[in-house]
Amino acid sequence: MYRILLVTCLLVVAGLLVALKMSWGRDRVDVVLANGEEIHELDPGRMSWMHDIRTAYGLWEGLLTMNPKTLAIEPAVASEYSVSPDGRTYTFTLRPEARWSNGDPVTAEDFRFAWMRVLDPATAADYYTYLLLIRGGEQYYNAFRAYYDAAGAAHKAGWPVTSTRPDPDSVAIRVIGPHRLEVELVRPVAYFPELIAFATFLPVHRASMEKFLVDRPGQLPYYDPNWLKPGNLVSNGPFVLTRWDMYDRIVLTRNEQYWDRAHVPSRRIALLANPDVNTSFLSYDSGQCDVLSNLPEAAGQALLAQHQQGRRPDLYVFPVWGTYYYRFNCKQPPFDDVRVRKALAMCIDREAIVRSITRRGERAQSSMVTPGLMVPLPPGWRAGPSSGPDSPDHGPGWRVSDDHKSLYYEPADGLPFDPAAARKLLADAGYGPGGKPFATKAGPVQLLLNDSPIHKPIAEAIAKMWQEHLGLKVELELQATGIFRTRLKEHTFDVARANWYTDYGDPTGFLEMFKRGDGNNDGQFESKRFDDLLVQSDNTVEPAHRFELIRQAERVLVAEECGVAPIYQYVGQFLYRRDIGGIWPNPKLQIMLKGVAKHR
Amino acid sequence: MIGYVIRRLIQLPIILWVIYTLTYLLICQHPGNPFLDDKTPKEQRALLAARYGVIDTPKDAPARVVWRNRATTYVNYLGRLVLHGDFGLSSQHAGKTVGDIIGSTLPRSLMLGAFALALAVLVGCSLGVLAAVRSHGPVDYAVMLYAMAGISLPTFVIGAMLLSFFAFTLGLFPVGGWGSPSQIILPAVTLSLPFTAYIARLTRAGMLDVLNADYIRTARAKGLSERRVVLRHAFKPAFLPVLSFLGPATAAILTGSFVVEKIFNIPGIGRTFVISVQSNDYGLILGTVMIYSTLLIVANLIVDLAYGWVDPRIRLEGDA
Repeated sequence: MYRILLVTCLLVVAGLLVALKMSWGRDRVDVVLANGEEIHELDPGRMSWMHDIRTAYGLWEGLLTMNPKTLAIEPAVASEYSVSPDGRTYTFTLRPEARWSNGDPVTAEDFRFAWMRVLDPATAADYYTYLLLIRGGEQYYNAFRAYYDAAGAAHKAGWPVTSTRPDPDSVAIRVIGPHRLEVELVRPVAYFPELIAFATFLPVHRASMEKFLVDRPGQLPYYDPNWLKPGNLVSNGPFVLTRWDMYDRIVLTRNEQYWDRAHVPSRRIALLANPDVNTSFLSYDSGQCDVLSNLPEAAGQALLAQHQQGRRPDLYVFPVWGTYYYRFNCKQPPFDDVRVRKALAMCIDREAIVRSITRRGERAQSSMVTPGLMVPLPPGWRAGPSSGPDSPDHGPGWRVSDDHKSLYYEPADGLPFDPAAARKLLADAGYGPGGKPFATKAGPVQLLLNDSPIHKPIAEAIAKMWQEHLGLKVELELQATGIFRTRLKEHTFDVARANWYTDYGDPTGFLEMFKRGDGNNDGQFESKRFDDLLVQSDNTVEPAHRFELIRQAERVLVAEECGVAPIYQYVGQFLYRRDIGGIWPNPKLQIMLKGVAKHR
Repeated sequence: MIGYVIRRLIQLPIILWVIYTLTYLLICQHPGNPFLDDKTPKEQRALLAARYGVIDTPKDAPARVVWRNRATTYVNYLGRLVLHGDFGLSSQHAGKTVGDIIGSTLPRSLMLGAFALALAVLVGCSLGVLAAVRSHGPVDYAVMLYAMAGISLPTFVIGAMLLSFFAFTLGLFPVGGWGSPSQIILPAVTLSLPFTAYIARLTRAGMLDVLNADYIRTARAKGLSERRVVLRHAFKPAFLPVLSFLGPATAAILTGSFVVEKIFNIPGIGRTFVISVQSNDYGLILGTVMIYSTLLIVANLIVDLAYGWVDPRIRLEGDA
């Protein structure tokens, strides 16, 4: 009996070890990169997460691409493009040598198919709004929605579907021959080339996807995600997907059909998926991975301290296009009074927060938009009289880059830290000594935040500042992320923490969401002046003048009507050793896998 | 015997259906919504929900509508599962189906669990027998001290200690991850320790009982070697309590692997389960709960059957 047991157990143990050893036969990889969490969505038309987009840039290539070092927008599948004088029509010439991983040529039709798919409401793409910039796009999207609604209702009632799908040719994405694509926009968009380089505009291979389309009557059609499995997925980028182990790793192998494979130094790259930043950090430090794109907060602080003492040369800290801010619920008394909002914003000592709490090299920031955003300038551009420049290359809200190729946006100044002025504002609003006591619906000010090791100490410090300078009673309310989001969308809060990263170099990326009725305007900020200025800027072609208008709008948001209280600009932290090449810390936090390599 | 097995197998879908329904009701009470992401335009929310077979109910809808929508979603989900064996799409990981996710994470947890269980039985029984034979001596005390420590120390302490000593100080094992044989040792040892300890105590107690029994005296009187007496005659009945412990132990090892998976960064189903709850991934929650339940019910059935084999005195009901 004992012997049977002994033998069984030993057999189990040995069997498992052998099984593991056999499945271990892993391909040798050149670079291992900790990519953060597991992929949320690998369908390029639908994705919106940073680490998904990073993976996508390894697998697919768009018409244009971003240079990770200079952030310049450069030719990719399109060898060149031209813009019409009114800035509304873009014509792309595709290089004929571009190939899909199965050998098919990459054609203009592939791009049109991919973009029309993003515009199909059934795709439920997070960034379909980018496609609404194309003439006819919005009408097409709305007509398609109406069609789905009608078809769904007809199916439910048992009637035949009589309504028809909208005409795809009504959207101004025109295929002129296999290698020419023309796009007409509703208005000139200075940052359109940057959008074209973004993941939403990547092409997909129609022929290999078709068999995965699930189209059942009465249901929205969708593609079975198996089209993205290794073996099924056909891509046109520097790499192909050869392995995808859920919650473990993705392995990319060089695409031998890729037109520019001579500039892909790595044969194989592994991207690790690990939701826990602490264990990723351990695996980096023990040499199991080469690049870490996301550091635990505590380690980030300690490493920065060591870095400043000359140790840890593998740490890279750099400002990114992301803002940490607090939002007021502008419809909730007493925060419907702009003086109250201003008073609270003016009692946040941002310097103290970045100096003694976050301590990862953040920069205190009173504007909503981070510095460093830029759009490309048309060749031969000169500051005109309309923009009223201080000098030929500098004006209120803009600055020309040294190479005269791009225009930088200069953010508006927000409210300064000024407790005395804040007390006066609060008194003017009728609160404080001699006035009514300051109270919200619940009594104390409810400060809503999602639970994280960094949000809590910041909130505690701000609560203390409000208490000390204004005599307010503040209560922190920590919630799990899911509940936190629900509360924001339902507008049931007083003040809430928030952050925003932008995907492209135009300041509107930070400001659009504060328009009246926007789905992300959780604080219900409403300002006619703000909305008007943004509309006006949309209709302005002259880039410097446009930035001036945007800056005025930003000023309304952060100072005059104070819908938000910005606190600091985020920093990015990368860890990688000296032998890794092809990574440039940039404010978009983007790593282009194409050029990443390990030197020997 | 066969009748008993058939009866148990008929019960299986009914139990699973009850668990499924209860889980669904609990999910309905879970605050939050998987489709509330800053990046998701609000126009897209209903579409997104429809994609995952959920009906997006406005928050101010009357209770009647809310429950009607929930019932419809429930029927949709259950119908898809029963008719197609399909758990649907994962809302958190849109590039994968729930079946895919479970298919790739479950084998890792099963492997780890089986390894740990085998280790626990092997080491636990051996230590138990050793302690019983040398009862009330230094060996016995050492084993029992070890067992006490194994039971009282939680896995996250043991795991962290093993990790810091064997992986960091000595550098013998990798700090975590999954794939190579060397990566399974530390997590399996961690996971097995409390069970080893428990099994050692059970075996020791059982052996001490049996060693004083009449038939053991007879066996000795026949002139059998002590080794044969202990391992062949005494061990079999002493193993019974261990066997009945194996059912719940299998359950605990499978569901308890979450902590170990987190410490050692193992992409198993325990971690998937927790992530699915945190991210309100309804399809994935239901999928993992169903898989867990099925595994536990089957594990218990196997233990019940093994009883009859080890101790013929136990007759399963319905067995002629």
